[in-house]
Amino acid sequence: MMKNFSLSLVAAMTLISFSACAQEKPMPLYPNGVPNSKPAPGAYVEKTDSTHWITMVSQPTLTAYFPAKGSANGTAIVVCPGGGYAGLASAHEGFAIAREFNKIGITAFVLKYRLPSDDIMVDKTIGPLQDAQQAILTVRKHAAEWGINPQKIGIIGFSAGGHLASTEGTHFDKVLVDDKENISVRPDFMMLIYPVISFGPMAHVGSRENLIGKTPSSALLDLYSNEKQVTANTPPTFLVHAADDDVVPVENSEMFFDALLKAKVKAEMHIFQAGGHGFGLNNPRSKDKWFDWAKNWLDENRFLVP
Amino acid sequence: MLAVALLLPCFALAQQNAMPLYPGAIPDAKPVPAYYIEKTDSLLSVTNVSIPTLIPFFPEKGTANGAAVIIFPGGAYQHLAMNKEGYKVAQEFNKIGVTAFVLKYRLPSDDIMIDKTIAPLQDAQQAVLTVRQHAIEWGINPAKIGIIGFSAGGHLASTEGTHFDRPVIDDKDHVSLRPDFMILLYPVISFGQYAHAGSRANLIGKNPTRDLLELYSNEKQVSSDTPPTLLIHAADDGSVPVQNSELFFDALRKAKVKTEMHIFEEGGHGFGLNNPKSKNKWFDWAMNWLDENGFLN
Repeated sequence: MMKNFSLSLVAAMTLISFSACAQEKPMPLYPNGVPNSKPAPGAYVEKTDSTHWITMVSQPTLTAYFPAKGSANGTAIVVCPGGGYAGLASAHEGFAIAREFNKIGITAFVLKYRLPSDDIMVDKTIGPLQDAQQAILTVRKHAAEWGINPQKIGIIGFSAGGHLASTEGTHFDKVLVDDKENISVRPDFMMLIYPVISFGPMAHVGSRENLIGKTPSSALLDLYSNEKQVTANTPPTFLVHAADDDVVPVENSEMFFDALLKAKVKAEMHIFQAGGHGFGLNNPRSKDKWFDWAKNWLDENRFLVP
Repeated sequence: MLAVALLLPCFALAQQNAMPLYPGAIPDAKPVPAYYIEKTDSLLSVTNVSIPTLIPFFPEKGTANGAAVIIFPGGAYQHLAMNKEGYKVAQEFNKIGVTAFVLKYRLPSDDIMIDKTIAPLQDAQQAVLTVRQHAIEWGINPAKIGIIGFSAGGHLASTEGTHFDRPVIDDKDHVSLRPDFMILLYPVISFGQYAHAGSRANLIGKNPTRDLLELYSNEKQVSSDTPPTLLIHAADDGSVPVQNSELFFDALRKAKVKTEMHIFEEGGHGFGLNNPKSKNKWFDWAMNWLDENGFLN
């Protein structure tokens, strides 16, 4: 289970004392080459700044975070950080979240997904979705090896990562990656935190333009307005947003919630009075912890029992 | 039997402390027919109210923070769930230092009212007026008087929170009838597409005018002066569709009124203080929300 564990002793000790859980080194998402890719130009070099903001991803990876020994309950979650489809907030919407899931027995996988770009992709509108599908497929394929129940694999996304997660949770019937073994790429649950959902009037324009360009066809607009892609088979969904979010209007969550309700899919939604956009794990404007709600919701939906 | 026995002390105390809502004549009242007698069943559900009362619950000595809340039990404008959507909630507010008043309001009836469509609102307005008038005497900050309503009581609360500029009672001293905050639990809000038909028919009849439908579709009555509002509903509510809360939430946001909303995945309708389908306690959310809005200090 910990075969590839190769952190330095100091780093490992820091991690253990810090979070009592173990982080694997990033795994390449595609063992046999990245689909839909063009050779990356010389200037397209992945960068990570001091806040763990990542840009120019051409080699997507999955980084596993395992709960402390003996505490895993078999549930897994793929974590999609946000960043307007222009970057990845890999700390407060990535590994900080993964460690929190570890504390409740869930194995977490932070997805470093490609950001839409004509420089490195043949079709940039499907690049991120391919990576999200491949992430679910990978976790499901390795479920036994990693101690995971293949029917308890969820996805969480923040902001544009919430768009990606909700795309993955509504477009799983249209597999865009190599899936010879016909492994399901449907997540078993979704958690969407201040998500971009719609590319209609309530869209986050930056995310929309980055994914489908400045003059998208109405077909593309509909395809990626995920409130229009919900069916009875969409997985149960947990939504969190702040009413005063001035980047991604709260209507995005409301529209998705309404679509789920209409399709008779289980859904829960919490809207903070204040909190703005991008607060990550802890909304400083509230004494409530949304992660506690998330934990209870997972529990009520039987994802915390082995 | 045991349940009734356990309820009795609180019930007895409540009855003993009940204050008539109107010191003088009850407005909009007709002589009460002999058969219209108030009844209370074993679960403390009350019907046929002709004399509205306000039942105070004070926090333990030294723990009051000056905030007050008036509680409107639900019951489709046909009865009042006085215990689970009244006394129990009052006791919980007392624990966080909030003085609580359970309102036993009149239920719309042509038998005892001249205009049944305004009587519950009269009682709600009179309740806010009474608490504000007696604020000093009761140790209450007159700028921290909120209301909470359940189901049809949530309709009454949201009516009071949106119709306070239109006094339907005698308010000689021009005391403000505006509540300072609203908490709405699985509320009836709209009399449109998502209406709870029973509540609507009981309040404004089976063939209401368009004007009456609009007047009491409270999502259409929100203004920037509507007080900050906390909404709680369950997505699987089979009696009052969750769209009622959503419509109100959207109207509040449009009017730039502060608002928070929690929608449980499950819980159905009428769970009162504790939703048995969830490990979350909405009262904790309410406490934090009141605190964040400065009502608990």
